Amino acid sequence: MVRRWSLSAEPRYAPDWLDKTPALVAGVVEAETAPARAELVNLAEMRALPGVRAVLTAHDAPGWPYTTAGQPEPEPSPYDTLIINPVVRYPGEPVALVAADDATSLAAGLAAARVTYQPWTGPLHADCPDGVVARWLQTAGQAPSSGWSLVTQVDVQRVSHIQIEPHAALAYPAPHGVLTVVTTTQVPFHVRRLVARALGMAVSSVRVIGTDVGGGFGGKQEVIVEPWVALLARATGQPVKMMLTRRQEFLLARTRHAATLTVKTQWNGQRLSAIELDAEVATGPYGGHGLTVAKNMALKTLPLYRAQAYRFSGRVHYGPGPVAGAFRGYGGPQGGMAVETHLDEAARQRGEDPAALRRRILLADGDPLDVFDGEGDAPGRRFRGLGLTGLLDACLAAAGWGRAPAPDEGLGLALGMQASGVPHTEVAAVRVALQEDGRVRVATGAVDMGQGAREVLALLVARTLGIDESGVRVLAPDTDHDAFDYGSYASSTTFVTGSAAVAAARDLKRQLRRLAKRLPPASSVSTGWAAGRSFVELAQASCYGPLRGPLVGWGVAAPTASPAPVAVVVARVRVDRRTGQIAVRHLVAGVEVGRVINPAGLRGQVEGAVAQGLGYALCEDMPLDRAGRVLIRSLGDYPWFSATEMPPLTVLVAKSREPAGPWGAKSAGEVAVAPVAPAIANAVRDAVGVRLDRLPMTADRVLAALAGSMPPAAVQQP
Amino acid sequence: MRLIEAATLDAVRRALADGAVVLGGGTRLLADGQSPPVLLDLRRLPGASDLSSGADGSLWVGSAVSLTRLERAVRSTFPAIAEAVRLMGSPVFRNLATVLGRLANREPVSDLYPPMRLAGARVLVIDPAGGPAWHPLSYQGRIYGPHRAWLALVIPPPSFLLMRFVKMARTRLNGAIVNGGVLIADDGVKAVLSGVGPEPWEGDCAGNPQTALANLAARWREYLTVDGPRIEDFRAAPAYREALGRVLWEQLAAAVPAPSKRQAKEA
Ligand SMILES: Cc1cc2nc3c(=O)[nH]c(=O)nc-3n(C[C@H](O)[C@H](O)[C@H](O)COP(=O)(O)OP(=O)(O)OC[C@H]3O[C@@H](n4cnc5c(N)ncnc54)[C@H](O)[C@@H]3O)c2cc1C
Repeated sequence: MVRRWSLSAEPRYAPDWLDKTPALVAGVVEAETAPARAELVNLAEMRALPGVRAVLTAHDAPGWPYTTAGQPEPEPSPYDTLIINPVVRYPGEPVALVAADDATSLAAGLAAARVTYQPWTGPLHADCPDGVVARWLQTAGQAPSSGWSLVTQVDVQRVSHIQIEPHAALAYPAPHGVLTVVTTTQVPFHVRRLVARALGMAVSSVRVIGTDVGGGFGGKQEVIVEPWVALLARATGQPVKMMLTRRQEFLLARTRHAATLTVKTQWNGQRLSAIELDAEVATGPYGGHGLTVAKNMALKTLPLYRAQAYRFSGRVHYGPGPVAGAFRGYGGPQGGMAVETHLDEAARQRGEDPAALRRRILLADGDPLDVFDGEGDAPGRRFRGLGLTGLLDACLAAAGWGRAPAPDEGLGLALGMQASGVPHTEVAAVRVALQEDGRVRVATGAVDMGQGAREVLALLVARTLGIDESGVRVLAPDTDHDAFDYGSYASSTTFVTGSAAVAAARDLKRQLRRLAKRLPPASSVSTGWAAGRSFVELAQASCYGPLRGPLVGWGVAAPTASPAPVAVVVARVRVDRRTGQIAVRHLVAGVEVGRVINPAGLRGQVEGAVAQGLGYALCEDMPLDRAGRVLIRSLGDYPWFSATEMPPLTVLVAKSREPAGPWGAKSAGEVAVAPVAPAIANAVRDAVGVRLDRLPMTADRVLAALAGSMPPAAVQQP
Repeated sequence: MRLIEAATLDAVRRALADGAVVLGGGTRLLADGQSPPVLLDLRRLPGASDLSSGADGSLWVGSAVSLTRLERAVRSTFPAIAEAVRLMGSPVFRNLATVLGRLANREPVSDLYPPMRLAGARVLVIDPAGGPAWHPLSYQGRIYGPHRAWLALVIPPPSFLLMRFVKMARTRLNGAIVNGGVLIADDGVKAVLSGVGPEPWEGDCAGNPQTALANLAARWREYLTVDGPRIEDFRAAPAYREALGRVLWEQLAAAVPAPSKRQAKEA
């Protein structure tokens, strides 16, 4: 399905909404240094400045702790932040929030702020003296104590989401004591609940209207700007708006979690007897998604391979720098870099073909999707990926695996898996309302952030009703539409919200069928479910005439299943031994995502995921200075991967069908990110014999590795 | 923020005296909500948008001329300058950023400086006390700094056998780590390379191209061994800059065709 764009005077993205809405302009007095107890010393002077309408400090902000991570209750994240914290824990953190009549008064107000800092030497959070916000150990099966074994370690960096549309929100007091927040978010209902919690309000006293989202990637599964504008709107009684600048996106928004991961495998002849993963994860100064992202480092990697025993341990640490959060792939890219480079290294050290080794231990139909979950027998918690080995073979063939490479060229393989929604916890409700002219309107809390949620939901509804998708309009999310949904993340929209959309469309169809039966016989031959009536006729009859009664279909999906899509990436690289530069000559990305609902959308998702994977692999990084401040201040500084640098990419799609999914679909949005970096690292190992164990694999690191690092960083155990 | 759209040189002088900051394409100056209190826009001055050839074949580049326009104008006459522009940022950036904005914004590694310097560009600069006056484009001198506006740049007609530009960066959208150019003329060779020290390294050597090139290469290698100040930023470590500096020169030298048998004999 091709997206149809049209010019419109209606605002679409949050900046458009902000532009067209007269409101006070809000900004942040940023902490110069951290951690420190920060005090604004000229509050009275600032408040008296012309055009300044409000200056709120920690003293004025409510003391309800919350988390900015948008996840359902019971939230796994610590409630470790306030709207304004008296102790600032990272440079840039708000010391005060300011609202002013216009940008000029705001700039003058912010520039006038004088802040004193009392260095904070204790633990970042008093209730977490050792700075370890979460720790765990999971085991399954018994490992034999002997056999060939290998230990490897990787370091992965923090990177930025770089949504083209920055975080932006608008809040205004509405009648009946309601506070309305208009925002660019992936999680409207989580925003509603978290804003209510942070401000100490009833959840239903907050209304959230979601704009079209100009890029999310997980960064807008966070509630950052919304409580700030909401608080200022409540304090001033006026509409208040705020948009982060690009510099603030690097400072105040979220990053992918940096981590150090260690993998140990033990082999009994040809068999993998045990695989262990240990993760030291940096969450930055607040806990947010730390625990769940960290857990997914194993959940999205270990089940891919059959072993007798599994072990996963880890710790999430508070630390300096910007706050880490949800990011497309959600732990998969970190875990994938660790596990997939490890298996490659094991194959090479054992003198085996890395593809052959994987084929031998690869999960098969019916294997559990969560190796640590005792309830793995429930339907949908077992792998169904009928085309997986075929896909692997096709990817290898397309990349020329096995053919002798040119000098300094090499091939690398890596796999990845994802989920389709968070296992066991998802819910989505969709309402499909029939209009009198036969078109339908779909209300949902899922969000289109460019990933094609609208197209997919429209297609699913249209196919179920047997109408053309141009007759289906998917509305922008609004919590007042009461289509409760956890939002768009965790690759959940097609599988979870899509299932609800299909259920709602079926419900509507049932009602239409009943109506058709009650109408006088049609003049045409009365066949089919509509008894010969056209959809438009039925719609008309539902609004006018003796059988009038408007029809609305309602569908809810609360799956416990979360089927796993799989991706295979094969990279061909050439390494310049003099400069250390890695040229990616060709990438093959194969995916098994269940039945494809929107082929063009799927290709876009794979291409985008690969581009993000390439940035992660080769260039992106967010270095900090000694004070923990992000050195990146603009897109001119941020070394990201541009469209002009995309290597030739072959996308392969396995033919498959997921019985639990809507029209046979799983999910596709995230799965192709994780295997890219390890495939490239493995290809570099193949090309020039060095094992890169740190991301990004910048040319200086390659050169340093070439200059002195053989043998590779992996340590073989006796 | 106040914007002064100066239409006369007097207005420019007055604005500069008042501390107005000159606005080029604004890609850096206005990035991320930066807003200097007073901005000076030069676009209403005569010749600001001109990109035209003089009778002698020289090229006038006004202060408002974008990188994109320059690239189109010099593709055949100065392919190395065109190449330097094509390697800069994204198309959108090149449509906005100005040639003079790039050069007047003195940074240790700028992609236009080496080829423009080699081409012998001259710049027309005005300050509150005097000018406008022509100066050769160089890294040093009083042409830089606050209270200066560059009104135009002139590239003299091409008089070289060959000119090359190479650049190494982390990604296309992230400025160069090292870059450089060489120019080979009848009577000698010039080179400008940057990215290792806080200032570009410049050298020239008279004589036949191959020997002169070899001489310059030796001087560059010597420079790399000197324990002078080094650029230290998050883009690349000094050691890596030096390593790339070596490759830079090799690539420039490799780009120069070997002398034909006849040329070799003459030499
Ligand atoms: C996305 C992006 C990519 C980039 N990529 C590259 C790259 O690949 N290679 C590279 O070399 N650089 C690159 N740069 C840097 C860029 O070339 C410089 O910042 C350049 O100065 C921008 O030109 P501008 O016309 O937009 O200048 P502005 O942003 O308008 O001004 C920059 C500075 O120059 C001063 N200035 C501008 N015009 C004049 C004038 N006529 N007289 C006196 N002073 C003046 C301004 O006062 C200001 O201090 C990039 C920048 C960005 C934002």
